[in-house]
Amino acid sequence: STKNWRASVDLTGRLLTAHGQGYGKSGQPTGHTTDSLQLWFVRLALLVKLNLFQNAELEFEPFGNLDHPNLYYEYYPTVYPGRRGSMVPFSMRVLHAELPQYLQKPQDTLDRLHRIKSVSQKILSNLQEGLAEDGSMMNLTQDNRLASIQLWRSRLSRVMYSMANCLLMMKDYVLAVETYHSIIEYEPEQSVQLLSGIGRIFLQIGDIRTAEKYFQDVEKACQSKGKTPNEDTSVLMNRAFVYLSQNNYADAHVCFSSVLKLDPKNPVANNNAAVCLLYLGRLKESLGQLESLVHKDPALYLHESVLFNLTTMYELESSRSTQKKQALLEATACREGDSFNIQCLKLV
Amino acid sequence: MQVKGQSSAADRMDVNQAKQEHLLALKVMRLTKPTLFTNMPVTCEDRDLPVESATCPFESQTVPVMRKMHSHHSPYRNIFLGETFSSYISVHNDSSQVVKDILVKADLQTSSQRLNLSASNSAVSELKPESCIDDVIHHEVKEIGTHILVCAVSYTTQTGEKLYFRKFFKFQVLKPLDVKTKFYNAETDEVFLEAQIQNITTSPMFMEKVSLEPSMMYNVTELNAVSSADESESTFGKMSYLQPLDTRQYLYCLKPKPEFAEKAGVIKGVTVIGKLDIVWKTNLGERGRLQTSQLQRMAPGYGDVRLSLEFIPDTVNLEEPFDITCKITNCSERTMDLVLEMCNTRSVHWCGVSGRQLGKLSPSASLSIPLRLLSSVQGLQSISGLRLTDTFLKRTYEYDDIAQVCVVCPYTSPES
Repeated sequence: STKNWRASVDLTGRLLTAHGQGYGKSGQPTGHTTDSLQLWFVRLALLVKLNLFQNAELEFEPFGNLDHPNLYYEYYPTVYPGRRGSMVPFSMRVLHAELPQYLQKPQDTLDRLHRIKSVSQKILSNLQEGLAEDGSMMNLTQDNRLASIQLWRSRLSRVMYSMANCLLMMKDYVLAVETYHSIIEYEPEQSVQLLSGIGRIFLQIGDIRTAEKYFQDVEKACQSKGKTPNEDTSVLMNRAFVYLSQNNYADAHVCFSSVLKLDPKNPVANNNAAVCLLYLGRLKESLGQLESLVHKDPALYLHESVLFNLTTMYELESSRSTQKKQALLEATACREGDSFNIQCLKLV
Repeated sequence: MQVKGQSSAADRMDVNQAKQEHLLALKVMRLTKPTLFTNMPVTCEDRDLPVESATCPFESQTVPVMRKMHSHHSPYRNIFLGETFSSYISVHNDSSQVVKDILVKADLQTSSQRLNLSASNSAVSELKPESCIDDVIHHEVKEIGTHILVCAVSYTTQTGEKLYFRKFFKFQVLKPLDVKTKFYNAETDEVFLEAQIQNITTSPMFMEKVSLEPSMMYNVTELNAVSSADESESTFGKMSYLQPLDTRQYLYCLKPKPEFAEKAGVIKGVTVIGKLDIVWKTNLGERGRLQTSQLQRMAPGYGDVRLSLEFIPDTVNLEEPFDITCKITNCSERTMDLVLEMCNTRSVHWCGVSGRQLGKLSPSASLSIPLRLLSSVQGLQSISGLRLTDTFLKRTYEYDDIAQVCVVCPYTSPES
């Protein structure tokens, strides 16, 4: 809770040693339990959050493709009598699949994700045909079946999000947009966020017209859900981004301010409104706004990108930026854990 | 979003005659469109260990985990020809005294000219301590190479001393597109222009408009969209943007205007066709615009007499006579008296009288001749076999492979 992720990683190391799998034990035969696997998941996930991708890759290696026999319940009939299937948490499989893209091997990520996707689809179709997840004729109660279908449907869309994000990282915008579209078919309730996201991709490419068409679809989707578009923050944010693309910083600022009327704590809108002021030539106002945000609610606003903007504007404002940056450093030191990315303060 | 700025530190060259401490500080920051930041979510499910702890660093799977767009920092973004250079200029009073009569001037120095960019040219009467004068300047970059932004500040202190200092900021303007053009001459008087455009920047580019502005002599038809019922779809389909190092070809058809059509046959040498106007957009609508210089084309040599086609069908039926219209232009300096002969080939059979006199033709004049022929062979056939003889000089000009026509069989083959 204090974001001391590095300390957490150390803790997992110690706990895993207690399980007989800690430091120096790679290459030796081990027994797994669901708890030990959850510990591994936490450790590996934290490593990824800390951007320590190579460490994560090394530690993932002994697990292979996560389908070794000793990762299944059937391997431990005395510990888990009667239970079947894989002990590996689904999120861990997704993490394992997503890792290569951060190591410049996005094709591996797509391969692994496709494998997970096809297995998930098979399980889902088994369930829908009245079979158990693994295709056997085991009977499930109606409640269990429905719960299972819901679970696997959400897992399927999770994998598809992952694929689309990977394609986006590879800058294959055409395929990424197609993938996001197919997610809408599975999860129509998320259409507002998905369509907004696709629209913003087009803004990034520079195709403003297509982006505007998507944002119009967002407004329609909003209306079909019974909400008036002017009261939906996504719609207002989209409008603001379109104004930005038209160099209309004044109207963009108005839109971001409208978002703040609906959601005063929205950090993105607050940050962006301040940035608009800068582009309108109102540096002092912009700085004032950001500084007051950071002081009023440090828990929410001591975020990398806000601080980066602040330090950039300090450098612009005066020659005494170093002192102000140091003040920020002190403020963050008391609150943030050991995982904070100090580089955003540009102290060097 | 994150502010994308390039602060002055790296590029600054101070030029002050005396090492003097100034009361005012000048800061310049280039403004580029903010980009959107993407985070990398790590998720876990409800039953996983992390959720049971008080605050989970990971996102719950039920929240859509699309890469959220906030802002992303990439330190130095190049500027390309045709884009707009925007900069924030701030003069801050670092001292504890009131400063008077501040004049801030911003000029852009390129290898060929010096431009004044300041929005206002009047002096600010006074500046209190800790306050600042802010200005945002914009300039559409029209030259490649080194540019220097020169900012000069002059002011008067409380004691009446007039002080002045300048700062220089250098930046490079790069070429964003590589444009190659090719001309194709059709059998008629039309000219086709193929323009190959390559994106040589480092980010994807959306081509908003690529059009050809023709010169006086021509009308242009754009051939880059397929029109259906309501809307026209671009020939590039879904790929609406160009990735770095991608190339696209655009096609245009130029037809000489009627008043120039007569002369078209006798154009020799280099003619001016028109120029390409390219408008593109990159991240968040950052706009760029380029125009090429006037494109030139070398007219093909036609010899003394030019035979071109005014009308010819694309597809004809086997063994059915069809009509074409030929245009014969006298490209020489002397009057001719022409006789037309038609020779049959293996596939083309001419109908009509061969060897007739066409009459006198003066220099630069032309006449239209309708002719009828038929083909006895299926497939893409080449029209050949016309001979023009100038009786004055007793010279014969041969015309073979004038054009192609597609010959199809209209009947289904009989069962054998």
